[in-house]
Amino acid sequence: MKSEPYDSHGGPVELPLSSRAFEELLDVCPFLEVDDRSATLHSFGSRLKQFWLPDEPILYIGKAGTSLSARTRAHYSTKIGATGPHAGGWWLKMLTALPELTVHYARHSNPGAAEDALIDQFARQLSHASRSNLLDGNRVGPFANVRIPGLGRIRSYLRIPARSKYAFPAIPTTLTMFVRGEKRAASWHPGNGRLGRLGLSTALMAELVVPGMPVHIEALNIATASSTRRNDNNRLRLTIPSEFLTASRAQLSLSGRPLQFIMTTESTRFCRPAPSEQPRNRARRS
Amino acid sequence: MSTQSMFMTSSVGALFDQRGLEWEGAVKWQHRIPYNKPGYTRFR
Repeated sequence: MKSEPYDSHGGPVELPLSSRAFEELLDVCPFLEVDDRSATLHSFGSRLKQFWLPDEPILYIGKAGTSLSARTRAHYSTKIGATGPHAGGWWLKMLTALPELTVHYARHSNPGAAEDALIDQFARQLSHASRSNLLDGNRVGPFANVRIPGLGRIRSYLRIPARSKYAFPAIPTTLTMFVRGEKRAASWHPGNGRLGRLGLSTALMAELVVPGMPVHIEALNIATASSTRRNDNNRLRLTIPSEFLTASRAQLSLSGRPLQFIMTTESTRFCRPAPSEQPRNRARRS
Repeated sequence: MSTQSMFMTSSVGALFDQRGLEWEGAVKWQHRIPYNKPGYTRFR
């Protein structure tokens, strides 16, 4: 996908953010935040600019795993902020220049590998000046490619599988967490689909998450958390505010003992109590 | 401007060449990829 105005004018292009598209996004995502604050057109635009590459005409690289026509149709028809039919590259729809974009295509027997190779090649050729302006110097790719090969799908938040979401608030909010005894804030969004998102920050994710290794999360009530002074490595303790502690969540916390989530960076979905906390009836069955 | 000349003036072609992909076509945003040529409806 490339931007036509760049070629015709031959110079860098400032981020052509559409205020109308931003309003549409807010209609779908009223809790949109930038750095834990409600997003404004200015703050959202400022953040997108940290991904924008003014001297690059290629804005997005995507694969069509099956039908190229269906893939482009799904991309065209996905509304701003919607997760389907295909949300990949949705930042393109925040641009006033959208109608002027062109879709180029090529055939390959392994579209996934070709996509990764093209993004990698794109990153290798990016100028130092462009790279230095990016928010994250490790995330180098076309503007609208949120997923960069080799960096994992998510670098700033943990995905919480649907079957583990019961212990989390049903609405977006900020949770308190303890990492090695230090108190921090974490944004929580239950997600519109199957996965919830626990925002930790890229730096903390890089510190806590080791590919292939589990991340332990203990969901605690506030009283328990305040008395917690353990400094376990790679363990994250999370408080669930009392107003969100419904009867079902309390029951699932195994009689007041902390429920332990074990998340992995891969596809991953573990939600199980620590071995010493297995319910007795389950132990008898086994 | 034809799709071919658009391609030739952009860095898309260079990127495709470097990764051994053969450019097959281009459409404007919201235009449909043509169905009537073999291979366009499904990669194999």
